[in-house]
Amino acid sequence: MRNLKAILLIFVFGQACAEAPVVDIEDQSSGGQPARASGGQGSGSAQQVGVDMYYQVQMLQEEVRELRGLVEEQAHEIRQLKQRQMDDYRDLDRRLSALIKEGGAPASGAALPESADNGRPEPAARPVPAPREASDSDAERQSYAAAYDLLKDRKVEQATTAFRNHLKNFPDGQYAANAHYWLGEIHLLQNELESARQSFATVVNQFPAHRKAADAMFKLGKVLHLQGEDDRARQMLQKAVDAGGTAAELARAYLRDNFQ
Amino acid sequence: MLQACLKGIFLGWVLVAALAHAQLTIEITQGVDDPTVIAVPPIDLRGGGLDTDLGSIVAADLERSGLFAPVARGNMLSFPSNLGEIHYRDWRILGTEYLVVGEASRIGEGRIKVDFALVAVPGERTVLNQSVQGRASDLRGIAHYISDKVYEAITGIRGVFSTRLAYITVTPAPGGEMTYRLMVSDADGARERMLLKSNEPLLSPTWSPDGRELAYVSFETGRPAIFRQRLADASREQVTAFRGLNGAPAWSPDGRRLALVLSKDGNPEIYTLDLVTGEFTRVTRHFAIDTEPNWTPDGRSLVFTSDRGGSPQIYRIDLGSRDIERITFRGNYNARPRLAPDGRTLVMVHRDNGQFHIASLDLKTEDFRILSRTSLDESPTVAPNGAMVLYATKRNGKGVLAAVSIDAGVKFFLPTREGDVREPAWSPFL
Repeated sequence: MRNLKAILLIFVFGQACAEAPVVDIEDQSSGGQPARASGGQGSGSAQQVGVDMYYQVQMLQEEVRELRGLVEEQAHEIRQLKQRQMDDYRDLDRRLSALIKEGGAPASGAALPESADNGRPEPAARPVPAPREASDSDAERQSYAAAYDLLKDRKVEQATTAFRNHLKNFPDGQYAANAHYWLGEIHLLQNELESARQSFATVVNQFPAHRKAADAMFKLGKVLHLQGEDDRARQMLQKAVDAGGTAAELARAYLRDNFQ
Repeated sequence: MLQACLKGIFLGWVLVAALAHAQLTIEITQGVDDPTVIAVPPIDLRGGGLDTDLGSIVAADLERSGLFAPVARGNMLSFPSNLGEIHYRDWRILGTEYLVVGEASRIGEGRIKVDFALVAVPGERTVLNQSVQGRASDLRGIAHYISDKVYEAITGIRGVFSTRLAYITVTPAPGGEMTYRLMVSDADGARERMLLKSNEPLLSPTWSPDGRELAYVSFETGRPAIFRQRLADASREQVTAFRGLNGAPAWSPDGRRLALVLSKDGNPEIYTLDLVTGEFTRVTRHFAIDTEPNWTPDGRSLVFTSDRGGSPQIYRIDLGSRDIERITFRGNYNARPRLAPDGRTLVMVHRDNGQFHIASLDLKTEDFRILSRTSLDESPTVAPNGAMVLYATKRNGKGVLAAVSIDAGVKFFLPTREGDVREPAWSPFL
């Protein structure tokens, strides 16, 4: 392709050589009126029109190619945006119906108890993740929901035990990452920084693709900062920023407020 | 004028070169983090006597895949050649996961038979136990067959050790000329064989789907023309001789047609040629450059490079409906598309920060990856099992072949001793 590009240039050049007259391209591209050739006097005028036409067609083709490229790219972007919107809608729908099924707790009720930092909205304050498929184990879902309900009711000690039991029973379950995450939140709340660090690190390292991973990165960064490990904290927060989403915003704000 | 310009371009394009005969060797630069440890003791006649030790070829094949780490011969405590002779303890202490044993025997008139077995050492389980026969003059072929079976039994992916490569070498000749050779070798670069030698450029070799023929572009008539040539008897036939470009041939999956690029009507357009009737069909019609066609595995569409959108990008055209759809959107240079056999993974040359890399695009998920870490990469070709991509690149100013696995985990070079190598084409399964 690289070579062909060069050929095209030569092709244009070749045509120009064959036709001989010199044309002021500068002038032509800026105004609508074709410029007169400096050397093509007398009999050359018909030929000159041909050359002018040739250049105009060239310019039009160039323009059409650029426009075509733009249209193609924008059509692609629109298709992607539509798809994303549909995915977001499905995700929201899934979560809402899960909430309704669980007894109609209002969405705001799912928020985590205020944690150690000064009331900044938590990225973790999201509704309970719903089971992905109907075939999911009910026992697992119930066990997790029960633990989560305890946390919502601020029965922190009991919630801790319940999450631990959940992890013992379903170490590789679909809520394992969530359970680790909430344990981290609880430890953070109780200022048990080392335990919090371990819980968040588990989410980050063992469930890198999980929805909670970015949130856990932010929290882990925060814990590391509280533990005085500024370098690692900054790295982890930067990872959260790179991961995107709500956590990225929080991580960016945290970096700005604490590291600069 | 145009003709002269074109010729100048092509001559200028094939500028760099080195010297004479050039056998490919292999240097692995990156394997998987945790390769499978496999041991292949010598496979020979009882009491020795074969010219080539089959076990060492098998071990080298497996190592080159990047997925295996063969146990060094010097560390082996015993050389079993059948299941009964295996002392598992010997292999367990070496951390061996798999062991290949085998023994050859003569079965008359220049033929040999090899009984071989693959065992999983930890479970002392026999995975394979079979035999293969072949000509005594084709020991490498027999060894590659064993490698294929072992590779497939362990990875679940069909092996490509028995397939072949075609490529062009360029070496300077006396008097400042260049000598171009169309070469064919085993997939490991061994048994290199020359199919054609020319003082004018040779380009774009491509395999017929039955692996018996190559089509390529030769300038021997003074301008580019497409030829097809049989491997068995080297007989050849000129397929096109149009004014202007005749380039980038690609054989259809059913072997009936060639897709190619002709500029006979003004600028490069894609055509198909029915090899039975000799009929040409124009596929693209655009004032931009359309080139580098490659067939989808179902034979119903072509992917190709076009700069109709202002920069080189990859498009797909349905040969029935003539619908054209752009399929690459990342960056402003994506060219030379090649589809993997699954029809889903597209491999291409992608420009990133001014460097040319080999990249892959999953057509379903739109997952895009840059596979190669070298720059100035070109001419990717996908192995028939879809696991590796071979391409041409530059190293220390020399044209060499390099390979990368489709998951980018394994990388190796196939350097030559002399000269430049370019335009590789991986054969289909043979």
